[in-house]
Amino acid sequence: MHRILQNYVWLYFMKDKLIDHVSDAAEMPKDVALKAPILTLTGRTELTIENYRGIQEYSELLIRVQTGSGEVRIKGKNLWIEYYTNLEMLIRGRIIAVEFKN
Amino acid sequence: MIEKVIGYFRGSLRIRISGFSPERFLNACMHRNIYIWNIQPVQDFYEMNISISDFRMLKPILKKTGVRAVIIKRYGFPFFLFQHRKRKVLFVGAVCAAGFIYLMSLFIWEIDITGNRRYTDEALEEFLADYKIRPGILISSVDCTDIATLLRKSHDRIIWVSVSVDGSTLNVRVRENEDFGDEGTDYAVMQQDGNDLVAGRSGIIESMIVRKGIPLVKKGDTVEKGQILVSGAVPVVGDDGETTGYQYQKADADIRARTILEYEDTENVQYPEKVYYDFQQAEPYLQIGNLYLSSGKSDKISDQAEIYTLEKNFSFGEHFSIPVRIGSRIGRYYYIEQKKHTGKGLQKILSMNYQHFTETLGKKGVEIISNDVKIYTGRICAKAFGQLTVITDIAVPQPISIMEDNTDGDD
Repeated sequence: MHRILQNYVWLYFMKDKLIDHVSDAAEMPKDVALKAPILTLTGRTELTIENYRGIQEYSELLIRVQTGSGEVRIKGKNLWIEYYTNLEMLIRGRIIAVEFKN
Repeated sequence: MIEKVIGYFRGSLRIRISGFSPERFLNACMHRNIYIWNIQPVQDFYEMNISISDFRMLKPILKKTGVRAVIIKRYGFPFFLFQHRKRKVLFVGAVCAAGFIYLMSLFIWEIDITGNRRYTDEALEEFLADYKIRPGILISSVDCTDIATLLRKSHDRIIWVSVSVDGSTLNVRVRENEDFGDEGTDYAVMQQDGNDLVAGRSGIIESMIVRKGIPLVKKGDTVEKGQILVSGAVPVVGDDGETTGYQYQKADADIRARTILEYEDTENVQYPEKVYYDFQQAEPYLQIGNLYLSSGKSDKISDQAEIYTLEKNFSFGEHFSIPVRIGSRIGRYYYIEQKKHTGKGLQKILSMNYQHFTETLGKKGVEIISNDVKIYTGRICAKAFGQLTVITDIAVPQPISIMEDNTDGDD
């Protein structure tokens, strides 16, 4: 019993690393395997995000986007969303920082 | 660009969202494939653009997320139509105008002829009108190839024709044969069997280049007008050396000879000159298709007047002309006054005429060796006459002289 519990705990902490290794071996794309978002930053005025679940918070200074592998925080000034679809969204404005939070 | 145009015709709205969790509303729109754009946070609200069709699908989402939507602006063609719903006649008029222009574009309204020199525009237009090719015919009934063939076959001097349709204009470009041939020589079609080359005038042969036929003269020979220079009858010699028959072909040669050209030109001392009055008579007119509207004043213009016509043809752009013309026929009255040339004036005129004559000869390839043309002035007229010694082509084709056959018949 103790050993089974140990295995579960190990799997919980090593899950991401394991999936990472498996996807590398199977040559699967990371955004599908790890549900990782794809961020494309053009300068500091344009940011495209793909592979997300939804918006948690939206204001001129902060946008929080929930993704499959955690939360992405975009901090800046005069932020606005050019378009918002189920495939991608485009954020414009003066971007100061992009943070990742689990 | 196209997307913007399509978006304009579909119509869109700018709405303001307010409520407890507007982010839930945004996510719900995203999951239901409702396209929203230009999302901006404004104080406690969110403003965004959405299409009319997608806005109609918002009701359940608004209810579920507890959010309120207010329309703050309307964009697009549907709203434009609604705004001008009492101006139906304006739109009907615009549609009718577009339809009218389209209908007009299906017809030929102008025939533009270029490159013609001997054949006037009016003569060619009249010729085409006999074959029902005139302004007002359908473009689909125009066969450019047939028109080009027709013009070429019926006009000897036209050697090349190009016919094309640009917009509502039928462009006819022609090229004429620039060989003058106006010395009275006969260039009639020769017999199918062949032809000889005879001397068009008397002279001394200066050079001969024979390509086909049997030359009967050589360089330095003196020939008379009508004398055969190159024969198209080629003798067929049998094994015994006797001529058994003749093969007839078209003789071809360049034969230049030194010959004498007579020149004479007369100019009268007294000549009529038109003196114009200060006043003139104008008749404006309007022509729509074949309908001609005018004040009718030009009927009263007498014979002692020159009539000028200034006309403007309306068109959209360069090639799409419509059958509407406005213009004015202006009659300038004059009287004839008899005037006299001075001696120097007569000499100048005769000299200019002679110069023009020699330039024309030069263009035809005639080489002038010498001349003794002199100008004589009298009381009634002045004359320039004399002789020019020139070197020119003298070979003229002539139907072949059939030779006697030496072959014996069967016994």
